[in-house]
Amino acid sequence: MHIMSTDRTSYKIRGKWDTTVGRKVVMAASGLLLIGYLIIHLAANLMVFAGDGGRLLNRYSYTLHQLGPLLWIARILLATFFLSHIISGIRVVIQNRRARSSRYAMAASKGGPSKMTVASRWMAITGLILLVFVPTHVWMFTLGPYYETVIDGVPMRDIYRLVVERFKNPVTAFSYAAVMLFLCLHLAHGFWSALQSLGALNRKWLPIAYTVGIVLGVLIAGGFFVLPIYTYFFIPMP
Amino acid sequence: MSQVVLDAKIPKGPIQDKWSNHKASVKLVSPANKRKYTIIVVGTGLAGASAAATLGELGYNVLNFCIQDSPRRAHSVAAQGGINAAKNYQNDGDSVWRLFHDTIKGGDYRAREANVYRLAELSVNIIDQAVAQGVPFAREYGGTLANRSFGGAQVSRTFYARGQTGQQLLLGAYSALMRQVAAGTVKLYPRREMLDLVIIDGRARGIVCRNLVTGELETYAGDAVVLATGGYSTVFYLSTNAVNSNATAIWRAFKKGAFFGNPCFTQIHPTCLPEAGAGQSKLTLMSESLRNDGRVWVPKKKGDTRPPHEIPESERDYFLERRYPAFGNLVPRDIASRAAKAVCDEGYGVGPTGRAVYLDFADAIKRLGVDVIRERYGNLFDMYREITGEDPYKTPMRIYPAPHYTMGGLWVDYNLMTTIPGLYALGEANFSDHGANRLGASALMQGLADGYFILPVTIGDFLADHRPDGLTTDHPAFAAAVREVNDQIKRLLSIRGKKTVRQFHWELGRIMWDYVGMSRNAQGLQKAISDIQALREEFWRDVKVVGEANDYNKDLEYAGRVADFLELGELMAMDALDREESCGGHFREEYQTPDGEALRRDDLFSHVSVWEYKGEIKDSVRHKEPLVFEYAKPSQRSYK
Amino acid sequence: MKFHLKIWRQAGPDQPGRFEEYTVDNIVPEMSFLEMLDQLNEELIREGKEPIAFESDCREGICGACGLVINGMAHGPKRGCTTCELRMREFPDGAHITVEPFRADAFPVIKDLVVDRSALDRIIAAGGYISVNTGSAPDANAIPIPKDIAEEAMDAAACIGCGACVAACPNASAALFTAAKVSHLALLPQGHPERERRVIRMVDQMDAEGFGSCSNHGECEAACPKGISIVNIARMRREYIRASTSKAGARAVL
Repeated sequence: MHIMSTDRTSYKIRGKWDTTVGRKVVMAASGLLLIGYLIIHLAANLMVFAGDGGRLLNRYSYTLHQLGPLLWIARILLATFFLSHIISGIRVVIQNRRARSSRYAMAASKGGPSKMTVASRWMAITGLILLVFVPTHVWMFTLGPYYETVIDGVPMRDIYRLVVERFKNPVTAFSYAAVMLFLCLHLAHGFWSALQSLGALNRKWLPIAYTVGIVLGVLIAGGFFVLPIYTYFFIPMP
Repeated sequence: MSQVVLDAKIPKGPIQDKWSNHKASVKLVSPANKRKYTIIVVGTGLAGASAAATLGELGYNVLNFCIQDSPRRAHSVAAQGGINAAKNYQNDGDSVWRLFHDTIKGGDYRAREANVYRLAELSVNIIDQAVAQGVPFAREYGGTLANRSFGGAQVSRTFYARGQTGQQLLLGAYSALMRQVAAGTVKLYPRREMLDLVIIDGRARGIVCRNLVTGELETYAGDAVVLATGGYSTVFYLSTNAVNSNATAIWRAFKKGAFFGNPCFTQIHPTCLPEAGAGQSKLTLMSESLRNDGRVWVPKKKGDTRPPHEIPESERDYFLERRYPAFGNLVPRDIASRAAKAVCDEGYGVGPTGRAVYLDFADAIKRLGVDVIRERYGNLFDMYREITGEDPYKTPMRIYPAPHYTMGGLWVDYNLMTTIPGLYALGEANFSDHGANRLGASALMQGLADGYFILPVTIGDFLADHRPDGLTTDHPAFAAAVREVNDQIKRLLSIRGKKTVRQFHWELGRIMWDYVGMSRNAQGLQKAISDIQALREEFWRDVKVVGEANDYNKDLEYAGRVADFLELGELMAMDALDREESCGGHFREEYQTPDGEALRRDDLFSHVSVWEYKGEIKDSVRHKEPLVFEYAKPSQRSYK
Repeated sequence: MKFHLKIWRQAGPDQPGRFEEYTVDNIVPEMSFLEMLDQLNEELIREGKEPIAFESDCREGICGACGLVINGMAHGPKRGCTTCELRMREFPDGAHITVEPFRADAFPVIKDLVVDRSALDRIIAAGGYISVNTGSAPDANAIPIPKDIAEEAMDAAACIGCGACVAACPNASAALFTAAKVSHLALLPQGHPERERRVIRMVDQMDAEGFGSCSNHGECEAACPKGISIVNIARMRREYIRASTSKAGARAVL
């Protein structure tokens, strides 16, 4: 006989954003915001290629730091997006593992309309790699050694020198580049999936978003990929 | 032959007022008292689910049972083409009166006028109800409901949801049912098979079920029992019904004293896929709606083996259009089926077995374009291609008749009550409003009319006179019924013979199809009776049933059902032998017009044959409920 | 045709399961996968062995009772069909075929290949309906519904409740099943009065049953015998966000 669950207390406690649909909404919204940040971050990083010995990049970094409390607000927001993305991600993974405790002996895709790829299957793994990567990255750069330079009479941090110095180390440069391949996978599924999780797609937009996601993943991760490699081979130490 | 007087309890007054007068005069149960009554509803198809949901809405305490794992899987789900309703949205002259008349005529004047009129009257409410539930019927660009025409009618009154009308209507009823389950008025018992009816003081008071997961025998007590367990076409082994469809619930009720009406009235559906080969478990129906745009033909030359597109127009025989110019391809099912059988018997059949005719869409595609055809029949065409590997957009379909629906069933009065007080039968399980032949798109109509609108009114009349008495399953009658059921199960498991249940079922199906199928004669029917008796004797001596009683055991379930079919088949043959006329789906070769049409004998057989069980099938007694036609005067049915 | 089968056998819900191997011969290509299993079962019964328990009813792809994972794919390798519609001609002669039940913790195994999918019924009971008592409906043509909307609702309503979406989903999520019903009723004007309450309750019930979370793999759509699109899942999420940010939604929770 059917046992009807009409008790909604757990829902009331957990709240509407901690359901299978709600968590994905949180994950999608934070993910899209992080993608937005990545685009700005990439644009800044591309200043390395300006060929001006780091003037543009250092001035940009200096301007950001002049924002003071605003920068901290931005950092806190970013950390919040990052954490909510991770927490909802972990919750999703745990629930999904519980939902099928006995595995199939054989599993195959029927293809066709399926959107399942290495990218979609590896979201947790690529996410985990990025989770390790991001703090390392912050530690290496933001919290790295403080070199100083003077541009147009203004003393400021020489972030350009730090970047070049770091990427002259082959281990750093190539492991950075390698992580970007995982970022590419993460974004390729993440972008369209986020829009789908927010309910933004329909029959017309779904295939478009899917393609845009792949293109976006390749472009963003590609930009971040080229940076260490190019620096290692072509940019002289300042 | 009999002294039993069958009172159909038809209300007095002119036919168009009977139902409203009746509604106004039945006794009522007060809202506060309804929850004190327990009503057992067996079956969750259109009739069962709609009845259980509506009774729940009214406040009764309902126990609802089904053999499937979910009520949504009842075989109503497979009805494809549509549901009739006298809405006259098309302004083509339809009316309640005309639907009534078409149904009576389609049934070859073997149905009860008052019931059929009520059915036509309620048809319009069904559509309203279904649309309100969210059934996504096909619509016109203006947003209003679309209609198509169907066999046996000259108006477009059939509402449809692609080729999945039954599914969508069932899901509507199922969702209403689940709403009541959530509200606590209906308790749902899936994976339960009713194996016996419990009668106390002459009243139906409960059932014995087998829990199909644990094998346990469970008992349930109530103030009334409603059977909505469908038809018995699977007696033919190969039919369009689901493999688990069975007659067990109504058959065991019959053996407990409920009378059985017109058991021989079975419908052979004209548009099914032809039998393909060994191991086949069922025949697939292609909706009759295909006959709207498809043209049925065979080559004019016997044994013509050319592929269809090589046969020129002049060498094709559009035999339905030729023989029935007024209705053409839209003649009723029985006529279309028999005509197909006749051309195949004469050697004009097509396909590898020669037991098939073409259903050709080339003209319709030319006229309407392939997109319109795809929109109307896309899923049916896909299904055909899936099964046969041929593309019906390019080559004509091959079709052949197959057992599909049983007009016969438990005899019920105007209130849908059987001859056992407190026992009701709805939908295909009762002997119904379709007479000797059911028109397409009328089964859904009847199931839902019974469940949504009729039973919820009429059952109150009975319950008002039978106050709740606190009966529980501790009453010794329940233990006795369990013992009986248990004995049968033990017996089935203890035979340990050599032949499987399926083999018996297959052999029974052959007998039924050959002698109690599309055309019947006295000699064949007598042979069928003795063959079935012999097969039944062999079954109880040599059947092999494996597994345990207290376990999930499909083989045991199947054995019980086939045991019942082996009895029902005999009664069907007896009834067919007894009815010495041809009418609707019942075609006795001895009684036909010079041009091979069914010859009714109104002077002798204008009655419902109502059978009473007397301990042995062969001793069953046939009573008559005379049929009186005041409004639809019987005429020789002509679709020419 | 001849086939080598590796079939999951499990005596009961709490019993350990294992694969057993069988060989079937004299199979005709027109046979459905289930008819092939019927034949194997007939042989097992004749040998006095217990037949393989599997579920089926209509055998024409509409009741949703059947459902096996064949070579790792729900309803087998062919798209757009149920197990009962799958013909043996889809497999090469002599093929090795692995047959497993639908696996999800929300679908406990009852026996062999039979699983309990009543969780899906409970999701419907939580809100997959329009609350309209019998007899209270207005005329069917009172609310015109644009043809394309009706068609789109029908696309979603075509769900047969077989559970293949859950079986195929790497996360055992019932999002497509739930979304199909939410979508069907959200598209129709009749469904609007209860839309907030419906989506919140159905999602809540889906979670309570222990289904996984949809990660947009789209495997469900590929496995769905009726080809129900994942755009319905997007619509369910729209409905959900709408309900979660509206007053009507807040009331629905109570």
